[in-house]
Amino acid sequence: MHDENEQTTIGGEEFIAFRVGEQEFCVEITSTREIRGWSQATRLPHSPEYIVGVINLRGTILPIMDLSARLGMGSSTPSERHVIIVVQVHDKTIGLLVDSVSDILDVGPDHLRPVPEVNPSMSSEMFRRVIVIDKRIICEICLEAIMPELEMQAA
Amino acid sequence: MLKKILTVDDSRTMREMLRHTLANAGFEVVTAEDGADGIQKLRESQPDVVITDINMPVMDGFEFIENVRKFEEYNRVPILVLTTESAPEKKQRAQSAGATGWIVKPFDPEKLTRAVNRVMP
Amino acid sequence: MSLDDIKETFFAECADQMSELETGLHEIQSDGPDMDTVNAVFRAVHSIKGGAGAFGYNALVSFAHVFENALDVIRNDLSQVNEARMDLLLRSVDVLSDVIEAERTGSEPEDSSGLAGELETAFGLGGAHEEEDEEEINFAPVMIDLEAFDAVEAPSGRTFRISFAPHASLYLKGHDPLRFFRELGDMGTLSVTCDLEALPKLNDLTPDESYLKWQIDFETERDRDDIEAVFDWVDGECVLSIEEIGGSPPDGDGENLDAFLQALEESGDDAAPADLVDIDDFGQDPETASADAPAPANPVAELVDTIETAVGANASGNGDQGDDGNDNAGAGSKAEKKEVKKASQTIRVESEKVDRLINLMGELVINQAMLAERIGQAGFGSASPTGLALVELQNLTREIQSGVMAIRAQPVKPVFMRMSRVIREVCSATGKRALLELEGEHTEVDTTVIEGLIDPLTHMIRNAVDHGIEDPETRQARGKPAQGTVKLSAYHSSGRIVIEINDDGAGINRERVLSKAIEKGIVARDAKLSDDDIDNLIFAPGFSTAETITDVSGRGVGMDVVRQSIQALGGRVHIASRPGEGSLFSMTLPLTLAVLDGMIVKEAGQTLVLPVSAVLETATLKPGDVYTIGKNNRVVKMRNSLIPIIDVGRQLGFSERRDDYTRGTILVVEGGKNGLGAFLVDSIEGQQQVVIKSLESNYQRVPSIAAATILGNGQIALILDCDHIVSHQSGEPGPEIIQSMAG
Repeated sequence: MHDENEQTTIGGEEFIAFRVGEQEFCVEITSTREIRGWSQATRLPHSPEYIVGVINLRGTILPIMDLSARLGMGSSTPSERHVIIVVQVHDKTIGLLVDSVSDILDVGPDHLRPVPEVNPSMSSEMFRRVIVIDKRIICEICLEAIMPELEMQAA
Repeated sequence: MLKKILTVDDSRTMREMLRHTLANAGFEVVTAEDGADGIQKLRESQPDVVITDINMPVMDGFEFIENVRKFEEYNRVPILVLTTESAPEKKQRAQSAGATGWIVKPFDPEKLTRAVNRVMP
Repeated sequence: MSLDDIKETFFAECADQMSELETGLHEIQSDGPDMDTVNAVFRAVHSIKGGAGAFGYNALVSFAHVFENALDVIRNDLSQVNEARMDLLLRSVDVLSDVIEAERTGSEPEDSSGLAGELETAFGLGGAHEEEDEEEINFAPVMIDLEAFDAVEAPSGRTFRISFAPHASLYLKGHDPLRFFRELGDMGTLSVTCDLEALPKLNDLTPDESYLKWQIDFETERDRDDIEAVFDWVDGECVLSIEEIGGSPPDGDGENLDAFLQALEESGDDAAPADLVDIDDFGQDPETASADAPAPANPVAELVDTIETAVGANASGNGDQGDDGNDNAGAGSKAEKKEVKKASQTIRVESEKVDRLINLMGELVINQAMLAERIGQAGFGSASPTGLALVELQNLTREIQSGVMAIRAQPVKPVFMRMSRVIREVCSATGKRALLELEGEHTEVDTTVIEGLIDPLTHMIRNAVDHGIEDPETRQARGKPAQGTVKLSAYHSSGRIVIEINDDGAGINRERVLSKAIEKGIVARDAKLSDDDIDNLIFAPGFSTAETITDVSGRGVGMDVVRQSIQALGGRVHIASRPGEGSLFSMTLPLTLAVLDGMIVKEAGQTLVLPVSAVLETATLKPGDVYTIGKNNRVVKMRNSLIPIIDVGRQLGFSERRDDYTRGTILVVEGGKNGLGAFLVDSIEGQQQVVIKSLESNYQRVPSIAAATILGNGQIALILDCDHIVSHQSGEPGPEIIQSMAG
């Protein structure tokens, strides 16, 4: 799956862009399974603060990650206005809690840049690339890097 | 209408192998897992030729052949014994049980088809 | 279906046969040989060999062949079984399994000829085998002169006179003279005459006797061997003579070759008379042949027809000619009924289909819970017709569910059987001697549990021999039998399966374990540990390290991995050791990973589920029931003991410690070997069956939580891991070790 994604960077790529706080981020559309509204999650004990809990996604247990908290931008207070982007990372499916979906982008290679080492508070390894279109700067989330397991192991 | 062959073998591999080979040679194939199953399938499918293994659970090949030969509707059906036993006394026993002929495993498609055609009515 | 698919089938079947083989040999070893088992074992190897031959897996064929021959010795005489031979056969199972694996992966099979040689020697096979081959060669008719001649000159148009007189038995074996003529017809031209001399008058005719003889003049380019080959299946079923007429070669005299060829040509002319019957016509129309015969005037064609029919009708038994047709039919169908009944009544179903059924079952349980909730909300009481219908539906669902689960339930036997190989391997690597004893191997458990059992069991068995069983000298010095025993047993206990590994080895060296644990920083230097705590240190993470890993139990995993994998199955593991006498590993596992009888409780605004099997009793507390021990340790006096109160909400981090212990309900929960815990929750909502959903499939293990489930309202509820919660109660800080053992 990872390999496929890397291959497609040669041509134009599609992304789903969304807002978290004041910023815009995106994930590859090929990783996205669905977008759904917020529903009350069941809390998990002994879990990092960015794991809001789990919800029932048609019979499977879907963990919900507060992307804002995960990126170190402060915890969200989930509400009806929030949106869950269901993404697939390797063999796991996880929901990302974001403020709203803002765009679907078709991006040519010209607009894709490597991640600059700028923001010390926001760990840059959580991003794969940066999309620069006109005045918008959209960081692509590296899904592998934000997965909780990996962090737990690193910790 | 395609000529119909009943194969009786307890090994799934051999059943599939036989089906594969015989179907490629243009026969319709019915399979059974042991002698008892073979009797059942024989009645249901009325094959033109029967191919059977010897070493099987429940009802072995000898017993199967003897049973087939007891049915007046089926006792003329040619039965080929397919077996790895190449010892002469095994052939003898198969023959006295009522086998029409035998094929020694491992068979190749040509050998099998030729043997079937020899006895095909 | 392609050949590759068939290959896949073959290897799948090999796996089945191997387990059959291993089971059978094990039975023979423990209960002595009986014919059925020996036959089954023989058939397994035979079948593997047969399939291997079809695919040209020569290494596999040749080893299986020797193996089969060895088993044949036992098959022919059960008293041929002895300990040394059994040992050899069991080792052969391992090698056979390796060779199969090598063929499957296309890798170079390890040389099995050494063991094959041992088998041949031990079972006295070598000589017999060669003899058989020789016999085969002798069997082929040899006509050296003729063949040599053929090779040189390859004459065309030789004529043979074949006289063919079938016995009655020939017809009883599915033969038809026409087919021999047809086959000969493919090799040359023939003229067939039917000799009716022996045919009696119709009145005297016995229908299942054979009266017809044929004379065939056959012109062909083939030689006598080929003609004989046509009749090879009716050897003994007929009187057959093959004589070369019209130019058989002068006896080995090359100088007369011209004369011979001359004669041959002439005979060719002779043999092509106008009335020669074309084999094709003959095949389609047997009457033509008969009519051609120098026949008496009566309508022979019809007669032949009658005979054929008569033979067909009465050839019903080997020699019971006296019986009339009806009797025969009766006997036949009776025999058949008996055999059909004997046939095994199992079907093979793809596991995917069963999994799907189980998933649907889960959905049904959830939907039923939703329905129940709606019915309750709609105001229907449980005694109302709607309520009663619901109860009936629930009963039905439960029955269907246990039926569905039973499909996937399998005895643990195959896994247990595998362990005998593990024991043999460890023994041969360590020079120790140990015997595997099985008990309760027919205990059934869900296949998913069985699959998960293999790795931890393998490791624990290795460990039991490697670290438990002493070497034979030491054992004898200690007054034990030189051969150690590892007993593997399984049984059901309160809705779970318990698997125990009991060895009669040295037991755990507590001093060494403790000093090592201290050295590794697993326990504090001044920790006060009970014997039981020390024994269970071996499951602590980081306890087994490279230093202690031997070739055998090593492979990079320690007992903590064993514990983790058992916990992942919702199970627990515990060791009890008696120094000098041995160790007992016991693990308890759920019977299924799919459903659970759940106790639904509310706590701190969350709905939680406890396994009903873990809950001993429920109670509400009165002010005088709670005692405080030390700082913040509350206990309740119940069941004649002091049980620590566990504030579940606080333990899970959902709420602050509550002050009023009397508001709420106590559930006395059994936390495995960790003893009892009094779980304090807000309220009990009821009991229901819940479908177990893994948290790990999309997330990871969560401490204190065994799994999750989906309730009737669609919400997720967490299923508590009672053992973990009891062992991690935060009121009383247990020994350091217990903390570090937490997953």
